[in-house]
Amino acid sequence: MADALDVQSVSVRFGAREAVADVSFTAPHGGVTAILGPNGAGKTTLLRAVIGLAPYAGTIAVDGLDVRRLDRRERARRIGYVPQQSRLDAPLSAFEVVAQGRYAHHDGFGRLDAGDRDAITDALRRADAVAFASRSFVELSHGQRKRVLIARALATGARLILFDEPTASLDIGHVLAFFRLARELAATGRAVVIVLHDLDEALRFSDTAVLLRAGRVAACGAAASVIAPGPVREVYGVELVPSDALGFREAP
Amino acid sequence: MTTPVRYSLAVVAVVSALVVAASLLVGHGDLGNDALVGAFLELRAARAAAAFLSGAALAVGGVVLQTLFRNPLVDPSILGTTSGASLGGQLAIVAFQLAPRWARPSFLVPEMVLPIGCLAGALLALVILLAVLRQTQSELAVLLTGFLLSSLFLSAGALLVSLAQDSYELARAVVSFTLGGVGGAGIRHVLLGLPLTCAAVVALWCWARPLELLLSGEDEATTLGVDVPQVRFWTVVWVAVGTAAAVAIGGNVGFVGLIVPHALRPFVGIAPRRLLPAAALAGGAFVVLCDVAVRAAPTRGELPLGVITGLVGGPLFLVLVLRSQREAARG
Repeated sequence: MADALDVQSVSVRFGAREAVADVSFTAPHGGVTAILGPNGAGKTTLLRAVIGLAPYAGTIAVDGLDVRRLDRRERARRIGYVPQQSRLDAPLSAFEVVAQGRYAHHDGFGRLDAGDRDAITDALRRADAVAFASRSFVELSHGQRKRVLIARALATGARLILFDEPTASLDIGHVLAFFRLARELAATGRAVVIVLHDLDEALRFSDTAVLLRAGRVAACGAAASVIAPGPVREVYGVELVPSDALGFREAP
Repeated sequence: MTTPVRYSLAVVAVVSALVVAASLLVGHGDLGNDALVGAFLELRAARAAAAFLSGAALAVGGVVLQTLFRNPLVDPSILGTTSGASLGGQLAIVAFQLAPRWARPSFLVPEMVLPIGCLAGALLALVILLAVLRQTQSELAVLLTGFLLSSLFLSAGALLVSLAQDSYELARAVVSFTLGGVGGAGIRHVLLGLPLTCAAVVALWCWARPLELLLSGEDEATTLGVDVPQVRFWTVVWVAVGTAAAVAIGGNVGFVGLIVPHALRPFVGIAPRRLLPAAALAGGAFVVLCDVAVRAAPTRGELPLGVITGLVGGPLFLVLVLRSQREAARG
């Protein structure tokens, strides 16, 4: 079975600057893959290349299919994307926002049918967003909006879900709830790829990790081998020290 | 669609029908005169139909442009689209009148070339605007470019009117079109505007779903499967067709696309698939109502339609700008 995501020798240039250079890694079904690196390392740019928002050189395949050969709707059905923040500032209901995830399932102008409604309801339930489905998106809290965006990505039915810094500005309760959901998604056979800043979160909740420095892969493999003293010192210039600081887990 | 929204749409439809019906009862002619009642009603019906078509096209254009630019402050008049259409119409009239006789086949009448000129002008205005938008996403830049285009087209139109003064007939035709209004609308205007307006409204409603996704921005819409350049291209074309039809029928009537969607949103929401049909009905009824005001106004000559819509729309635009600034300051 082909990997959910197979990135081979991918480079992205902005004029003379190479934001991503010769990056290769794979993300398997049923696993959580963290993409790590300091600010400006090329994490988000790499994600944008995968979802078709940045032109790239090299090969990106989803389930063994070259994404360049997929039309927009096919790509949207195969790759779910949760942005760090949505640009949506119009008072659509949360249900209507999640319904946007079904657009790619129809030819023509995309009217919703009963199957779509079931998929939307299921996505809202999985993302724990049913309680505020009828409320306006712009009136929701940051954490609630994030759950609506996750539900929208789930409603696409994609087996590969990409998250761009999903825990930024979330409180600890929502951070833990997010990673529980990420693990649940992986347990259902989906591939979860997460751009993260927090190395501790990556170590605790991801199976594999890709560590970028200046657009290049500095380390790649099992999370515990990537988030280790050597690679962390090389990329971030800091010492990784075992700590007895406070840790958190969800209350039963 | 939720029950309150369905209810709101039904109310909009009923009120619009009542406004159009009531407009047939207002005018200078005496409907008690049995010999003339048929003629009076026919004239008023043509006038009401022309006003309705013009308003429907402009209101729908407003909804689509506000969605496309993700900016509630724009409409075809604010972005210079109606001024572009108006200039195109003026040029078409001048070109038609000045063309040698052999270049004007007998079947070609001024009413036929007018929409073509209007369409070219509206398209030109929207293409320039989109080119600017590729350079900057700033709300202020879009509005300023719209105002600039509007001023430019109006100045060019004024120049054309002054140049046309050499010929009395030509000057009269250009000035009459420039002032706008549906006072002289007849069945020919309606038959010409009806297919263009209906085509534009239906086509834009067909694009409602991808337009709704564009409310989340172009990047998110792309990741959800929307072909953004295609949506942008076709919606701009159909807004230009609708605006051209509206201007060809009723002249440069401003602010309809701003007033009507803002009045409707609290009742039918922001989703274009619901707002577009409501805007078509309410926009049509609004311009019919403005035309009734024009007819009822105690003035010697008939006021241009744009005067009434401008008196309502200008202050509303100011209120919306101030509210937008307040919200931006609040973050």
